[in-house]
Amino acid sequence: MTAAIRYDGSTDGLLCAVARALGSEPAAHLIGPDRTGEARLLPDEVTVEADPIAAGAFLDQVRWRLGPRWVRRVLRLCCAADPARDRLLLGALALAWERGAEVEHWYANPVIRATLRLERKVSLEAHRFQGLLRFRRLADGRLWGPIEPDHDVTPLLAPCFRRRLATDAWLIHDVRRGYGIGGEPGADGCRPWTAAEIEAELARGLDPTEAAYQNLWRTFYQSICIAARRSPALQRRNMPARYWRYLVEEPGGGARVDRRPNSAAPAPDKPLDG
Amino acid sequence: MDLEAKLALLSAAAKYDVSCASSGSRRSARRGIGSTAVSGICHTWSDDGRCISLLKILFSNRCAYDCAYCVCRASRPGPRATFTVDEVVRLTMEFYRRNYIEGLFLSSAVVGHPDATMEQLVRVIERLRRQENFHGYIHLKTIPGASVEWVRRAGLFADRLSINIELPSEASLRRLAPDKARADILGPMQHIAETIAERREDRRRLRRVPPFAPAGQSTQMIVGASPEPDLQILRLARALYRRFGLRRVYYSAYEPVAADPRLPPPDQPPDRVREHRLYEADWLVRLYGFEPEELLDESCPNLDHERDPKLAWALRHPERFPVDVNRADREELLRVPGIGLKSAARILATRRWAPVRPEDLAALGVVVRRAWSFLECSGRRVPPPLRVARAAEPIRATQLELLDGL
Repeated sequence: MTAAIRYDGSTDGLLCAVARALGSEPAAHLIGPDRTGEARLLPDEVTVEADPIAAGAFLDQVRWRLGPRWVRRVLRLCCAADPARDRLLLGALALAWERGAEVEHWYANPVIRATLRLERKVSLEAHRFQGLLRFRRLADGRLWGPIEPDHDVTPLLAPCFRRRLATDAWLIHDVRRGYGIGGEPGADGCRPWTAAEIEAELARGLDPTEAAYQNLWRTFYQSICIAARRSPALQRRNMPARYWRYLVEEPGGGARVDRRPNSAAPAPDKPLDG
Repeated sequence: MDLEAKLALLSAAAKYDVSCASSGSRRSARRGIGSTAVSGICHTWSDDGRCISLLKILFSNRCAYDCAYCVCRASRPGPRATFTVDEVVRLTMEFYRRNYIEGLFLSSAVVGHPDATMEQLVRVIERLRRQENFHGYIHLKTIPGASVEWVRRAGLFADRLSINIELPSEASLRRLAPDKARADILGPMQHIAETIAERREDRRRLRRVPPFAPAGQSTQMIVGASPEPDLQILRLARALYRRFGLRRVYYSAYEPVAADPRLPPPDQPPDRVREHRLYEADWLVRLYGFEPEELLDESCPNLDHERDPKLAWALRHPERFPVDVNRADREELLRVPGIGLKSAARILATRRWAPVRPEDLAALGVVVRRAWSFLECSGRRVPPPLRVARAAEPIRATQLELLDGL
């Protein structure tokens, strides 16, 4: 009979639950905080506490048994916002536990295929935001970059910008999830920011030179286009319109499109108006 | 002229340079700002659908040369401008900090003497690297006719160097760009190729040897402004890849800029389908193991506009098909229309676990709609996908009656 393992929805909690499920016999089923109904169908239920040390130990175990590629895969899947995420993570790890790391090449296997597809979605979105994130300079000199990704990719982006902007203070703000990750000049690591901290930071307003550089960028963006080759379809295929909201350059002649209904996110520079 | 007007003018003049790649180089800042990713990063897409990853500008559009096909040619009336070194450095750093760009693509018209122009370009990138500690991507277009010393200096600071070959033959170059000599283009190209190879060898022994143009070199040629056929263009591209180790040859369909008896008439639209087919054939030559002579011959020296070159080749060679997905080697798989580099690699990897079945092909990334008639799986023919089958055999629906069978 399948058992249920409940966890709190955090990454550490998920890793601890996966570690517990992999060791359990018979197979277990993971239940996150947003999936309460399923619990009643399953007879045995245990709750796993989120323990950062146990989660780290599990990742070490993955590295030792399956290699660093699988560690990266697990961390990317932890960032995925997909209802099948827990099932795929557990299923793929169970297969790899049994058959070895090379099972990742078994593309014809439905679990491996769906897992790789989800991993690819997350890493593609993180890669896209490495380019599509736009920083605005705040009055205190900090660079503020608002984003609204489908998956929770901010933890994947932070190390790239820590390397890239080592001499600046910066903050990536996930507007949809209401948190951020920021770095300081010369600091080795980055730290999470709460919504309240971000709000206080944004109250300082924009740097006076910011508008001038945004104008220069828009000028460049318009001049570099070959009018005779205009192709909105190709542009949208490469850069889906849902990512345009926080872009400075106003693609498509300024026609900003937000297809998400009931989006509660503030307009790009709204927090700074006051 | 203020900075915004200069930027508008000099970026509009640079828009016909096709390359905007920021790939092939790995840098990171121990001190300073910036890094590069081997895969390259696209930062946005312009309204024409092309990727923008670099701040692509000319340093100046005051050109001493008079190339017939160029928007900056000396005889063309219009506003002229030149950036200062400070302005380019400031724009690059401020745009980079805001994550608008991955780096700088700097080119220029020939202002006076090629060496004088090259000196200005090198001053910009030297200042970015040495004073601003900038570790982002830099692509520098070298000036034809500039001395080897300036090219060598540029390679110390740039990630990628390029020099435009402009036209596919020396005769066309003489006719349309009389100020440029073929030797002024191929000479620096040869020098860059040799220096990259030497430096790579040195760095193998001693990691502290500074890299020289770590992302290699590329070139661009205009197609449609001169009469050369596709076969000649592809042979030239193959020679450039093999002899000079170029990373890319870019093709640009001629955009009419002026009425000139040496050029196609200004009302003739650019042949974008030809440009697209040339890119496809270039891919086949560079990565898929095809030779230009397999795709084209003297009796048919131009690519088919209706079919992509791989499909056209496959239809001319029915004796090579069907290919068995579970037995073919990589080279055979790569020659099947609808199978690319990734799907071939996936087929080879997954068949170590289990034989590939027809229903697995789509999941492996094969474009079944194009590949099905060229493939079999362990002796079984691959059925056409539903859409193709329906299109081939239109369904004739008839209303059945309950008592028809009686």
